[in-house]
Amino acid sequence: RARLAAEAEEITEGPAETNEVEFLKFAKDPRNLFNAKNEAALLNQASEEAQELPKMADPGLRYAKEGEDTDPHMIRLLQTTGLDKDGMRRLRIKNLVLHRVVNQTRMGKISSIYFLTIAGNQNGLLGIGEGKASEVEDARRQAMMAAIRNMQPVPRYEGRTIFGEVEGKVGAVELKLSTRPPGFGVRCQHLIFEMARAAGISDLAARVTRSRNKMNTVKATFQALMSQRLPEDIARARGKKLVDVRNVYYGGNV
Amino acid sequence: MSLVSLAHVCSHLQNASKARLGLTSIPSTNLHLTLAHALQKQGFLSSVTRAGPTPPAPEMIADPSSSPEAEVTQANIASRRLWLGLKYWNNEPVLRKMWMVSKPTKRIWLNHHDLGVIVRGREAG
Repeated sequence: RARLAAEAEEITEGPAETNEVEFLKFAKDPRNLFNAKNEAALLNQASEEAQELPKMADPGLRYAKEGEDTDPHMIRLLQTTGLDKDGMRRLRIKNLVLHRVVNQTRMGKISSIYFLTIAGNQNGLLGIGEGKASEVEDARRQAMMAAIRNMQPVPRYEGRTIFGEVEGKVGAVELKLSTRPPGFGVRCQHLIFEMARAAGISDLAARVTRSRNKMNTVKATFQALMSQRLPEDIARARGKKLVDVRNVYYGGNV
Repeated sequence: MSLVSLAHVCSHLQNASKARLGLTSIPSTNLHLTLAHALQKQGFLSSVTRAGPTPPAPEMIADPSSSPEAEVTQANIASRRLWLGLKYWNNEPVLRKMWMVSKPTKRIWLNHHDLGVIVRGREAG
């Protein structure tokens, strides 16, 4: 019966409906209505369903490659400083000050950890950075990155000591750094010792006269080291010729 | 002989440097003249000119002999002052600090031997 019904359907497509069928067949073939270079693309259009979009990774997500850093702050630091992981590992980084600070709000006491770190390449560069966060790891990392970012060249005489005597004052801390002859060593308090070691200063004397607040001592030492006046600049300002007598006359023996 | 005037000169030059003045004047005496010449020789002052109460013109500073006002007579000697040109380099004054070593509270005398020791950098004090 079904076979008969199908045959009947076929038979009912008489000459009157043949045109309709032929038109539908004509319309279904995209080659009659569209022109395209790519046959495959043309035939794809034939179906009413939307095309399959090409599969690609979600542009919002960024996946780390093998062995690469994921931390955006670290990447940015390496970019801005021009260092690579090796260079950063060779820096001398030391946390000098670490304490809990507390902010009293109406919700209660909000405590944070504060780090003061110095970074130096032991050859004339020194930087200090502060980091404050609720977690110890975050604060330490913040301070380390700030220290590396803030590295500045420290003027050194013969690469071992500072030029003359310099003073630094931050808050109630007043200190004085003095140059010393070769072989003297860094005979200073532990904070200034670490800073001198990171900067590559091997002969130094220091006297902290007033307060000895750790944070301000570090800042005052940094200020003092940066405030050195170079003899060449002084000579140029005064219009005088400058000769390093120790080098030229005594051949470095005095 | 009073050295009070030298202390005044020290203070005045420090103040003038802080105020970034180009020219400043001090009383015209032989002591002041010697000091001014010494400072100029060491490169702390650009010019030392003797003129009246008003600042000298730039032409007079450059070439004192050319100007007729440079002449010191009995009539004008009382009003003469030494005009000193201050120097600045790299946004900083060249003559920053100046103070008396021998003070009324502690007088210091040195002979030529001791001066030599200081000049050669053997002792700072």
